[in-house]
Amino acid sequence: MTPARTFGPRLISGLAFGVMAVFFVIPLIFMIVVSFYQPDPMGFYKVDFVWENYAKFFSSFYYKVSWRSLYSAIFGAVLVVALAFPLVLAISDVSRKWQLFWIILLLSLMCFSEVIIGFAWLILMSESAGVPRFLEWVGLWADPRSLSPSFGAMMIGLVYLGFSIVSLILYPSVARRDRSIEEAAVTLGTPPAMVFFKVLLPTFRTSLISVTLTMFVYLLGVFVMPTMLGRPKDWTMTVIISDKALGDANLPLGAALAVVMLIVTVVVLLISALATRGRQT
Amino acid sequence: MSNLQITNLSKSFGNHVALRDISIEVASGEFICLLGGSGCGKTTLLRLIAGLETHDQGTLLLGGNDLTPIPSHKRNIGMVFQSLALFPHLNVGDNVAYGMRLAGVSKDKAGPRVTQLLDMVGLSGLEKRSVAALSGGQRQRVAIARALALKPDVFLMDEPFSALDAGLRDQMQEEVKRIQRDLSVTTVFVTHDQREAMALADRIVVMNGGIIEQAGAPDELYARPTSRFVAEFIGINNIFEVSGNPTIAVRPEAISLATSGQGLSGRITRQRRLGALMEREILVGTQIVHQSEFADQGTHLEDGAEVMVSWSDDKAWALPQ
Amino acid sequence: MTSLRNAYLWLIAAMLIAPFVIVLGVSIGASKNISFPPEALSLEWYTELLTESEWLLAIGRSLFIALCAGIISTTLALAINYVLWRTGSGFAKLTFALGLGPFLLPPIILALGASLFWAEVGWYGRMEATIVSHGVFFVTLPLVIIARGFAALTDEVVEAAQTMGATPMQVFRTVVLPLIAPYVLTGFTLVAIISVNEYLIANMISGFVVETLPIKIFNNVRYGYSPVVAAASMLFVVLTVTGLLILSRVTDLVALFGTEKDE
Repeated sequence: MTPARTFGPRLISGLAFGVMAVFFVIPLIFMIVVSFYQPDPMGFYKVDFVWENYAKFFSSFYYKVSWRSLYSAIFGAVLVVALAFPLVLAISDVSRKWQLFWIILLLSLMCFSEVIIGFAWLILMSESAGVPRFLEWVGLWADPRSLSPSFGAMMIGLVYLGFSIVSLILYPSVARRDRSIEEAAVTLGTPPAMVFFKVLLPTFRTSLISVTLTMFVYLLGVFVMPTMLGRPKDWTMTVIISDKALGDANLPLGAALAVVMLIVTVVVLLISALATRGRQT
Repeated sequence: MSNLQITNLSKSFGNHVALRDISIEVASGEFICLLGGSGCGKTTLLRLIAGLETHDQGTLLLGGNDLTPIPSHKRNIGMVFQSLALFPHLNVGDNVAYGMRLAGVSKDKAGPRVTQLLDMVGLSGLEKRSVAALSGGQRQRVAIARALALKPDVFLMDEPFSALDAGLRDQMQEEVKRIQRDLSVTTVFVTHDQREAMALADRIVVMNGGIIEQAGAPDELYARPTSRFVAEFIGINNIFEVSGNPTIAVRPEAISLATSGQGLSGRITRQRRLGALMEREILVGTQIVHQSEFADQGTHLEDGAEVMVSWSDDKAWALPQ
Repeated sequence: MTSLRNAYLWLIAAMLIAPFVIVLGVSIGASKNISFPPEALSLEWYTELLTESEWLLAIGRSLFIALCAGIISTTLALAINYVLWRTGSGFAKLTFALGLGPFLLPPIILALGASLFWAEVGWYGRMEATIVSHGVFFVTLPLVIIARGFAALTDEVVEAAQTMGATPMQVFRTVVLPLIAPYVLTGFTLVAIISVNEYLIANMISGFVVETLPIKIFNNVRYGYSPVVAAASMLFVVLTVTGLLILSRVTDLVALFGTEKDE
């Protein structure tokens, strides 16, 4: 196409950029600004410049919450990828009709509200309707009790939530992989059972690392699962932020905590970008 | 009917000079082929005529009118692209009718013209067929019918047959030649295949490094290339450089071999029979000489045989230095 | 190997579907308390869901927000992709990269930022604020999907249209739009589905005034449970799966997310 001589494309891209800047970038910048304001019990906040909201982050309570958020997100991310990668490999080998079934199933799960998924697991783990009742019925548990809220229930919720996303991110590259590499490995004497470890894992190492980091960031920000399936002592930073902002109406503190999370996220994304680039060249 | 006058046309992409001072005139109804290797500027020249690129210097006249200020969609040209660029979301009939519909012709009014065009390219009755369901040759025909639908002043083709196998390519070349003669539309055809250029063109324009090396009728070009580049591009030619004398070019079929007598002595390093023809390579000093003759008319020679290479002076010509 | 593979597929499928089988069971049970398997069947919770104005209002709000957010997202994604494809300029690339941003950040950050922003603008608690934020934050998915459509659109197809007399606007209308329409539709549907299901952002921007379906379900689960929640969840499941099934009729989802047809 000839280079655009008209004003049109510039106008369109200017508008689109403007919309993204105003409604995506400016709110983030404003949040950083608010994190330096003074909380005001009577209203939202008082304009000021103080470090005291950040200072609060380094108290033992937030320190504990941070560690809890980090390890539940890391543990969840690794678990999700470890379960989803073999599944995606398996899906890529079934007939096209079943592939469509899986894609619709995974897409549905990706779209389902956290609220609905949390609710569904709540019921599945309740003593009157779900797994405990089933175990009682088969005679394995004499005195069934609800399995939630608990750390385990929260982790199951997190893994379930991330599972469809990771599967859908990994699926395209796995489905389009060059299968002759696996065949070559077999003809060179690799036992079929070892192909997964000798060929597939090394081939997809970069994508697996990058998707694990993406999942880590995602799980860091999940709100509904900890509140619905976890105990207060399992609550992650996301819950605390929302609690500070909506419950205690301490917006500057909520903003400061969110900025810390934003920094962690950006660092993880940069590591991910570097790891991917290093492997490609 | 329009003639195309190209004068001192130049075009650069960044530091790369694609065309340097090109001048050529295409008569109304003439079929010319732009022939050259990749990067010689032939496709750039075609795209300048189509208005898909803008030239840096020079003039481009069509029927005496300056094309420069006219954007591509207002020049009355028909173009067949290398990838054919058929619209995948339209059926055969709608592809052909596309230009007419844009010009405001109603679907009903365009119908008879579409039928006529499809008859012309031998696709009668395939109006409703999806373009994805067509064979390679059929897709070529749709692209040609579509390009000619608006009765263009100039018909441009950019290596349209390069993806076809040899048999189908010959057939399509004949059809294009027939259609072009019937419509007597001014045509510019880009190709890197000298056989294709020979088969189609009234005049061949050999290009190299952004300039025109030589332009002329196919026979003229074959008989009397004016540069070493053209000589080599047009067919395998034997070029002899003798110090102090002009460079001599001789075609393979003009070379004769003998086991004794006058000439340059050499040794047969390779020979192969291609149907009726025998092709040989003879090592003379450090130079490979190509020779060809009808297999049943020549002498039988073994691989590695010592031979004398000669030619008659009227079959050889001097190239300018 | 094949039987091991199938066993794994079935196991995961069962784990993924099981929660919703239970929800279905609860939603059609007559008991007011959660119990499975249901002792007696009843559709009363569905009747309540579809007749009580509170629930209907929430459903209506959610669908309206989803529709508007879908339009905003796909328009943005289409505009960004069109300019990038047409000019390939650095500015267009920057805008595209900016559009990938929301997907990379934890939603709580977006939600808090948006909530502070709208409070400052004075739209805190208004449905328009939720619509705009959903539309902008969910742009990533249609952006990436429509980009695949433009990647399939070769320069020569456009040039062919030009040589036959099409102006840039006509090229867009007669060639570009029809060819990328399936991708645009896919992007729109996914944004609409995600918006209908979204809780956190909607809640932090205007949750206390504009109660959407997910917010209502969440509040119901936390502060006083009723089996209507199960019926509402099933309504979601049905809406989402129906939307995706219709989409799979219109576009080739397997090709869009994975392998091409003629491999």
